[in-house]
Amino acid sequence: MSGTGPRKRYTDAELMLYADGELPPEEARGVAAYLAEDAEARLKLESLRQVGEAVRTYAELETDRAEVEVPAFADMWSRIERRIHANGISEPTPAHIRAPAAVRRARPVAAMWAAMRRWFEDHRGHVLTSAISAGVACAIMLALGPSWHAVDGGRGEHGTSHVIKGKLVSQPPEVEGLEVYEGSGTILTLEPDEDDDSGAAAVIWISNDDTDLEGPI
Amino acid sequence: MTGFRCALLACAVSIALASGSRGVMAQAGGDPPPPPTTANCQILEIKASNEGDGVDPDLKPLARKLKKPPFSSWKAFKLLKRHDKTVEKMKALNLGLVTGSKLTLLFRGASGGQTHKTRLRLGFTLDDKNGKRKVDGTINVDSGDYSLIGGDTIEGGATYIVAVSCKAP
Repeated sequence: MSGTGPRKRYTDAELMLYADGELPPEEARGVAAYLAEDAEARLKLESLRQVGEAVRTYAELETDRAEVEVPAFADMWSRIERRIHANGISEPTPAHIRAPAAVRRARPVAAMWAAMRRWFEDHRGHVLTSAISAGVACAIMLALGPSWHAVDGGRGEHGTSHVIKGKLVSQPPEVEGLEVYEGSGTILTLEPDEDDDSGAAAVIWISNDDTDLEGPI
Repeated sequence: MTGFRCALLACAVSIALASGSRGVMAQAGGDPPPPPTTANCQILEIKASNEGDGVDPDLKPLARKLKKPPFSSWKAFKLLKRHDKTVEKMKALNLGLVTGSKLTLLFRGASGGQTHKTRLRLGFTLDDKNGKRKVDGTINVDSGDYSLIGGDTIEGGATYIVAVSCKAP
């Protein structure tokens, strides 16, 4: 046993900063030692480098395109850059301390990327809590929202409404008024069978008191 | 504490968003449609007899009902004529039937909602071939359900039935 205790594991954000050369020297040495012992971390670092390179390449291409197509963008960027390097004072940065153009463009992107990753690492719990809260809230709202009527089991009796899950409520036909001028009328309701999709039917049966008169209706 | 506040805030925002989306959903699908001003009606003239057996394939929607009383007294049901008409609200439809009699149909209105099927209020009269009124009535029926009027005899001792079904578009 070495007695030095477990070696510190570095986060992806720290590895990203290391890859970008943005860690303080002391911490960078720690990461280098960690990488020397951990093959998986080396693999991860290589992946991060590749991703970073892809982002840088894309950013460079897009910036170059923007500079060509939008001259105002180039002017604006150089003004911002001068201010950053002059620490807010509007003085031009001496040319000899300025980084190469590609590096100058890539650094803000890489830093932003690293900052975003750091933020997610630091606030993972909050993000998770928020997502769960949103899900629960949506579930509650959906549960309280308009829903289909449940089966009421009142099928078969005359005058009962038929409520079937997923369907609108059916009502039996109702004869509001009926006048039969000759003979008599009988009103019936034919309920649908259990497996019959059609609704109930009203039957108005007319019986002639004197069948040998008048003929058909 | 900051984490707790953050979670609380996220929860409140989520509930607000969910309430808003529910409101939008209700707005989009919840408002009842305007009541229909027309109805598509199908009128079937049927001959019921004991000559032969079976229900005309064109009467399939009614086949089950024709096996029940009072129709179970007959073995054969044949479609004499089918009429498909669109009726406008409060505008009478006069229809000549194969027997020479006349059916008048009046779409009086419709009601319904988010939970119930559209309910149609239909007025009807039947006059015989001499123009003499036989039946006059009003019926409330679900959209698409049938009403059958029958009982009189036609030539050969068969029984004549008129089936009416109207659907709100």
